[in-house]
Amino acid sequence: MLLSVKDLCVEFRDKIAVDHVNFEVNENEIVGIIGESGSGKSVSALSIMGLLNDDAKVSGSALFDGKDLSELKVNERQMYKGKEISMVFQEPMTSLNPLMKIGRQVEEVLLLHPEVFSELNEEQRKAKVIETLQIVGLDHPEQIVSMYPHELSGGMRQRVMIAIALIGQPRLMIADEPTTALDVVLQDQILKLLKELNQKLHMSVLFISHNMSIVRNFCDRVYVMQNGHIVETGTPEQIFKHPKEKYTQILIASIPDGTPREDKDDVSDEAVLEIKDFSAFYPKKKKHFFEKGGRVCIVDHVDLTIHAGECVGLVGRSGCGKSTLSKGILGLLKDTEGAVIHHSKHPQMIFQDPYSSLNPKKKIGWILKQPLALRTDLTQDQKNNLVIDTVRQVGLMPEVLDRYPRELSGGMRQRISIAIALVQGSKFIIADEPVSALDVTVQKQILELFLKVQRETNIAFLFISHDRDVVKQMCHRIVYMADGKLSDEEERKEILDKDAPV
Amino acid sequence: MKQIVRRLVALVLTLLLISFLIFVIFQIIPGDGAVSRLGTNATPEQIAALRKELHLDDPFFKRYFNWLFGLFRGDFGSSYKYDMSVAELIGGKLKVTFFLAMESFFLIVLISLPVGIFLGRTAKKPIGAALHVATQVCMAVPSFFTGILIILIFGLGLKLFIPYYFVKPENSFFGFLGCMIPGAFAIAIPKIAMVSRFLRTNVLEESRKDYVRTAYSKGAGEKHVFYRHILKNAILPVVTILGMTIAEIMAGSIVVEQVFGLPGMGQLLISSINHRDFPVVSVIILYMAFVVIVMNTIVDILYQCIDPRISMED
Repeated sequence: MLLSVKDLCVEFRDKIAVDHVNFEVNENEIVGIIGESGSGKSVSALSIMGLLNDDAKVSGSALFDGKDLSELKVNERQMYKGKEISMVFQEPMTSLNPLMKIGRQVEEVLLLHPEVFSELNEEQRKAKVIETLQIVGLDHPEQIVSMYPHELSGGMRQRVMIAIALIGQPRLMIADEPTTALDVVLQDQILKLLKELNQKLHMSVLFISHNMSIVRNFCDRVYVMQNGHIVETGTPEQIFKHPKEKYTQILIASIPDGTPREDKDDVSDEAVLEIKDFSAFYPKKKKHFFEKGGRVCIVDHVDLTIHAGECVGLVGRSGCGKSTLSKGILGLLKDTEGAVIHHSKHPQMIFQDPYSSLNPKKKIGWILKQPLALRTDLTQDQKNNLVIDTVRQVGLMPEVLDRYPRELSGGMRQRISIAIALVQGSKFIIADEPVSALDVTVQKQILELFLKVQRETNIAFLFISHDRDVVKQMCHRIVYMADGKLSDEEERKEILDKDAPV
Repeated sequence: MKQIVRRLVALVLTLLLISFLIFVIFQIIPGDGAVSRLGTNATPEQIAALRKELHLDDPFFKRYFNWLFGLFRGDFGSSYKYDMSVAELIGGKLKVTFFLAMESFFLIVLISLPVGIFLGRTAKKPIGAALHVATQVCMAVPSFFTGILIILIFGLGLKLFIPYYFVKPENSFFGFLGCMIPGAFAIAIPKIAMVSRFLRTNVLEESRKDYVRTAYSKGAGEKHVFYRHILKNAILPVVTILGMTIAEIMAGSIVVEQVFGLPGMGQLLISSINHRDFPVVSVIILYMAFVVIVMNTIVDILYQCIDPRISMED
């Protein structure tokens, strides 16, 4: 047994984050920990690495190869970090030092462990850095070593992070949501890489994720965490096919199953939105002041018609032009060609992040009344009643109108975002990744709300998402976007199935 | 290279704009150099004659371009008030103001960085908290009052320097620099407090960032993480702030010169404005603008050297 965590408790000033947790990782094993946000999975991982802040009280033991890490002195423990146990973090964009060259950041691990790597001279270290960058699948590593993080894409940065975690030849790699910030195709590549490393280098992986389907396909053994406890453990087969605990059952039932939507009856022939030969451009960066500004085509001759009561899914990798298209539909862009014809009034948009898209200084009631402020055809009383009805429609009590956004949970805030879009009585709404920031159980509730609202009101949706199962379940029709072009539905299957993890 | 050429062009354009603004402002504000020189007892004929002599009656643009081309030829004109060329009048005083400003700038850089680092590293300890409060006090006291305190305590009380003692740079350059140190401190102290507080905030902010956690996960110790990772990131925004303090230092030096009795441009600038002595005022203001812009350009280029995210080509 490589790692054995016994009775781990982590307590912050006011709350217990991890409560008497036991788990193990064997040699050459991939172990998954799944749980929703706040379940204590990341805190457990950080405590094994000794990376928690000073205000966290940690008790219990973490035996690594028979040695209790929690009893080591600070400098003894540093010898383990990066060398015996390494860690890959969730945010590749911010986890690298922006002012240090990639090569230096990878090499640093070797320099920090002179007890093992002191016999390497500078050239051998450089060679090892390049070799490691090659292992993680980066092309032209000789060039990458002298680049800075901002010159690399998110996927490349995550590979660099993995190279940093790998170069010390650790026996255990802790990967904390390593693919959550990446789009599906990259996600797939990174997971394949980790699996390969596990098999070739006999490195154990402790894999932390909230994504059930990844854990299911990727791990040898799974722990389910809830509110700081481990509620169930077993092979993916046992956990996903025969969950014993109530919580695990709820969790698994919440996974979108991707059963295609059948009820096409409500879709009428009447169009709410027609996009004809639509292109959108951004100004090209000028080389010098007097250069005539060129432009870059982001959305390229797109045609799309959405009918009343129809839910159209829009799928594509990050940077393909999805968001630009939706901005163009709402008339928020300056430089466009072609036509966007709305056959309904007040098209609305629901955003991804329910935390930052609501004004934190205003009460929910004020926020919800804001879209009605310019309406002169309604009296104050009518407006108030409309707001109360809408709040009820999204499954909340009118009491929330008196609250501030920070007092609501993520799911409640996303309900409010939906209510803002509904309060105008729109017939067409764009939902941009409306559930990807939410936990699975909350995600399920919000998706159900979407379906309910759509059946009740016959609103047409353009539903943007990167989760193929969510889109399948929600939409009557799916269109795929790549490099600014919309592809027809024929290609859908191939592209959506390609991104199945591992 | 392209970058530097562009900067130089911008510098010249800015100076031209400022010269024009000064000229326009002097047209608008009431008062007349000729009247001011001859006094209230002068006859209208005398005034008219002097105005003619000073070319004050020429059309606006003719006067402006005459003056501007004079500047390009290195002819700064003569003072209306004193019968001296502007170059003669300003020469020595310019040196005093310039070196006073530079001295205080170096004091700010040399002292605020270590203080800021210390404040950032001891933020959670009592000593750090106490110093933090002290910097707030220093920041709140205006520099002319700090100057009076310095003269009282270190000059008259502890007798560390002789107040109002001035060495001409021709006699001893280091003596000249030395006698301005108390004044430079008076200008620098509030800025040192401000910059070190800013650095402290940056250190604390950077310490919470994800890349710091990554560095710890590699097995780095606290000192290594601070000096190899946090410090450079935390100092970067300070460079910009330092550039912005230069304009304030120039303004501050004019006041502080008066307090310490230094023969700089401060006194001259104020009296020249009162006497509508346009040639003198314009040269002083253009000179200050020149120093501020050049220093800011240096700071910008420096910033680009440190931060790889800003490429030299943009």
